[in-house]
Amino acid sequence: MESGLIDVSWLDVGVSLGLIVICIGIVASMRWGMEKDLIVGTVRTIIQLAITGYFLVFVFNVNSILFVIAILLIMGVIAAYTARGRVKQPFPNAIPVLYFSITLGSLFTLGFVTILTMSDPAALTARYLIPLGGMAIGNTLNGMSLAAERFRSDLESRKDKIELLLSLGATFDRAVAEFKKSAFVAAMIPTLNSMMIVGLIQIPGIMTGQILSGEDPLIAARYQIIIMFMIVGGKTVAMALGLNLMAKQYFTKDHQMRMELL
Amino acid sequence: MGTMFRFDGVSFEAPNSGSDGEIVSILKNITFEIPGKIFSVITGPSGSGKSTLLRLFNRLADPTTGEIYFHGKNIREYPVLELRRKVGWVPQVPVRFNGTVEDNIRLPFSLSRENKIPEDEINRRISRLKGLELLQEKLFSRKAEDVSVGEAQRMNLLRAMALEPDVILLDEPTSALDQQKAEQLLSQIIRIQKETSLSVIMVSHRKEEVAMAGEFVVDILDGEATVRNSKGSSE
Repeated sequence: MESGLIDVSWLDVGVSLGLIVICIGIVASMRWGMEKDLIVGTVRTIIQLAITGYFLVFVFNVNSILFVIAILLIMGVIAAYTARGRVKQPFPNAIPVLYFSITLGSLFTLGFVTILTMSDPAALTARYLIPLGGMAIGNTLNGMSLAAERFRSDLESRKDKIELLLSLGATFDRAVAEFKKSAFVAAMIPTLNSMMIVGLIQIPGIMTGQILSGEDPLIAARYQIIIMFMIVGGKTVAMALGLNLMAKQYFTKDHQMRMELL
Repeated sequence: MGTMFRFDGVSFEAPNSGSDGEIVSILKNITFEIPGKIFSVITGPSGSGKSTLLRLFNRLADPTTGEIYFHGKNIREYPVLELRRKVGWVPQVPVRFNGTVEDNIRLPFSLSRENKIPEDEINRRISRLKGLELLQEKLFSRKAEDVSVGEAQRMNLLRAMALEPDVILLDEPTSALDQQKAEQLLSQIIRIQKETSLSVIMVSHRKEEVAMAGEFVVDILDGEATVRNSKGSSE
């Protein structure tokens, strides 16, 4: 277990491009017409990950907690715009609502893991905070955008039910309770499914990475468990905040549905 | 029969449903009074603004300009949820929630934490609603999704009546029914209105329904309102 990762040079990466060449060959001979997409995807993968690699080297060298927090907050902004793009029809204050919920959900869960769980000053360095934070934000973004789109489409398709409940004296919060629940459930199902089969069919990314870099598989497993919990925690906090804030946008303070938004 | 609702210079504008979002004037400077404890009908051709007008009574929407008074008090001065419990509303297309017909009728009792109604009072109200004979008692235990449109519409009416409102707003309650079934339902509603002295305000575009039910009639045409005297003669 002592030996570290086998060094992979850029030349080796070039050799691995052989796989893509084989793919393009197959696709071209079958006339499936995805050659261009494969080339664009390959180029983007190389450029984006290379930049990320160089950027992380830079961030690790600077190693300032404020700089790390600033990066995480900027990642939150990108996540909020990405999530808004996935909701078919924009809603008022979408960016603040999504930013607040995704960032708070992710940073809460990241703080919990690095401060309470790992409880080691080393956990509060860029080497831990950036990859863990990225994972938290990325997964929270996926959950929140699924939930937001489901919630919006339910509001649109079931406005008859919602207005009826309002007409019977229900608050808007009570009138949409059922739809908040179904949005949450729909967004959590992929996470729960992956919790059910984790390790059985494939070894998840973090664990694979640690095993490849020579880490004890038991430590790798413990990391993976904590990360799974971090993802569940981040999504849950973000959705609890986000769905409540989002619901508010669709109603006036007098519990009237804003029909122009639906 | 005193004034129950008073509309004072009420206009309503909204963006049209097309993509250009142009603001259109749906109701124009409407002023009228509706008396209580009788059967009133708001009538006019489709698209004249009748349903929009009905939504203003219980503040599902607010007018762009003008004021509405309920029992002499501006409706904005009532806590909105309390106003809606006093002003029942039955939409054009019946809404069915999961569970039995009785679950649907009991639904309003579970919606408010502040105005918790004791269980024996709820049971008293349910047997009173059964006693109205609007819906056969055996249907109360049937799943709401399994009853016919006419039965679902009756269920919607009973649900609106469960909170014992002062007035019920009916938005084209017979529009999904054929002529004969529509008449049956309307005559039942008229009978219940007479028996209970409930105030009813119904929106309808059918002339025969206006003749049958309208003790007090408001005509809406191109967003403007004219009050007719009872049973047809113009004021």
